[in-house]
Amino acid sequence: MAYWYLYDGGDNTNTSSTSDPSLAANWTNATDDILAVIALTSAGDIVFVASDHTETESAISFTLAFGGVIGNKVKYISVNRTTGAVEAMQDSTGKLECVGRDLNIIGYVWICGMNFVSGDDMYIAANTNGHILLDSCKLSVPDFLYCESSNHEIEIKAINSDILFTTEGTFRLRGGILKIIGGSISSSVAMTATTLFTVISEGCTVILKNVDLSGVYDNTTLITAATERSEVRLTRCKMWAGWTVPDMTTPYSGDVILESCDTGNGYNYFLRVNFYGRTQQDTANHKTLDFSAKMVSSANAKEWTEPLRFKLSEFYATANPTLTVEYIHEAQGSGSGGALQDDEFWIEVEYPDSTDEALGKLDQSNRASTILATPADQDNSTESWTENLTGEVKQKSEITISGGAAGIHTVWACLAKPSTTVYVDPDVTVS
Amino acid sequence: MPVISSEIIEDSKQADGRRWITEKHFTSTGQDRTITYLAEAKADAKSIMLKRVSNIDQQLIDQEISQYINKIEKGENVIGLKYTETTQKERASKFLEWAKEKIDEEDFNALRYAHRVIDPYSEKQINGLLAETDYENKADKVKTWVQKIKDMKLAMDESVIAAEEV
Repeated sequence: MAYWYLYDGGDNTNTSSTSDPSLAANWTNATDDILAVIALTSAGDIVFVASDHTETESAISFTLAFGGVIGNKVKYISVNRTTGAVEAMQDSTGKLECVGRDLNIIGYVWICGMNFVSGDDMYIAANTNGHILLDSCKLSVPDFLYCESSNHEIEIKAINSDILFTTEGTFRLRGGILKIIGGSISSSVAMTATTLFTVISEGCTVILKNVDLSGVYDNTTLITAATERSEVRLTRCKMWAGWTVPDMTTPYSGDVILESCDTGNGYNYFLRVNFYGRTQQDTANHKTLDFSAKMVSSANAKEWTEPLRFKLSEFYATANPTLTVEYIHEAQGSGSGGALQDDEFWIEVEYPDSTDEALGKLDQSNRASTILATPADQDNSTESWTENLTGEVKQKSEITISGGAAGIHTVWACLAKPSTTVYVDPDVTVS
Repeated sequence: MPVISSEIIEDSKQADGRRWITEKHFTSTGQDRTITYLAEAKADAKSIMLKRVSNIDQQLIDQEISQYINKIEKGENVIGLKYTETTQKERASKFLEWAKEKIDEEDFNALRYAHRVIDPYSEKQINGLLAETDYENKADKVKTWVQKIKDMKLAMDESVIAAEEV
């Protein structure tokens, strides 16, 4: 493993230096050009980048092809030249800017604290295999930020990094996995595509956790109503004003899941959207918890066979518990008095098997026994709800597990009647 | 397939005063698009819905164009183009030849749109095809290339150009 230094005040002697970035001699002999440094490095090398390094490129197609390998990446670390301490570049003190042109980042690399400014689009791991890890970096993109590969062999992970679209940009995703943990995404003007994530052909997986999205331009849509495969999950993200999520139009377009996401310090609402409908947190109709899971099935849900499924709860329980779920609706069912029947709504429980605890089982006994069985009404309930519904019907579903073992139990609510709304209490009663 | 009508199908006030809003937009081809969001307490949901229509129209066009591009990239036929060429270079040349005859004016918005839609593909897929050393010339050709796709789509929508004429 060798150490290299990148600093615009270096003399370009390109001496392979020591591991101590606080030594002035290392910076004196530094390379002043990132392409030259890339040419010098081998897998596993470390490049110290002066936090006040400023480099401007105007090449037609400026590509940073970092030379690591998947199991032994090159590391780029922005440091203070005097103290040697890790220190992120700032706009005023250091950046790598590609003026008026695209900036391409490919290869296998871990980059800490660098500030990349593209003059047009920015491509990360575009159309090639790659594993790009960004830690405390900053990306400024006036146009589109592409994370795409037709062969899916890419992962881009940004931790505590800030991504700023400066004019009209948006993410364009094609294959691969994009993970953003911490940091922020913002756009100073309206995105032309009016969506934050545009999915192209091969689809994508997007995971955002703890990301401040409040700077995204108002009323931007989270993702295109994809006909392509996509899995998008946002957890504990602060949303922008007027954020929207479209319904997913195909079964393979996957799920859009927001958990504990909100624009302010409110209820941290959840929302899950897929082909079979959406489930969202509702605080107007609930039992003792201050919210319920409002399940709204789409026209694609079908009795007995294709339900909108929502995971209500997952918990440890001793063997063979009885699990009860309460729900309320405006006489939406086909049964007596508008009751939901057991081919329209039921609960399912996954539980550990008593004979082979490594193997889970799925109890669907709350559903009609077969698709040909005559549906029966689910049980009525007299539980108290805070609600604002008209002609409300209160019901419950219950399963007593047999042949189970102590362990993690998962309870699912299943709404199979199309275009139907049911409010479900996530507080599963265990007895 | 523009949006021809829109309606709010849900406006559900929550405990903190905010509202779950669900809009439904219907297109000229009979498809519908449903959008859900959490609105502030005093938000004008109807106004927001109407403003969104143009955005959805744009997204629908994006989606349709992307499908054409994907087909061309994969060497699949697109209505109006009857490929007999076997390589991408041959197909691109054929396409450009066809486009040169069909397009004679530049529309700024169209170019801007084309640039936005095609750039990721053009840079990688056509770089070697157009044999241009000057970036701006190359970019212009790329933009033109996509504009043809857009025009072709419009032509098909209007049933103006029959496949045999191409």
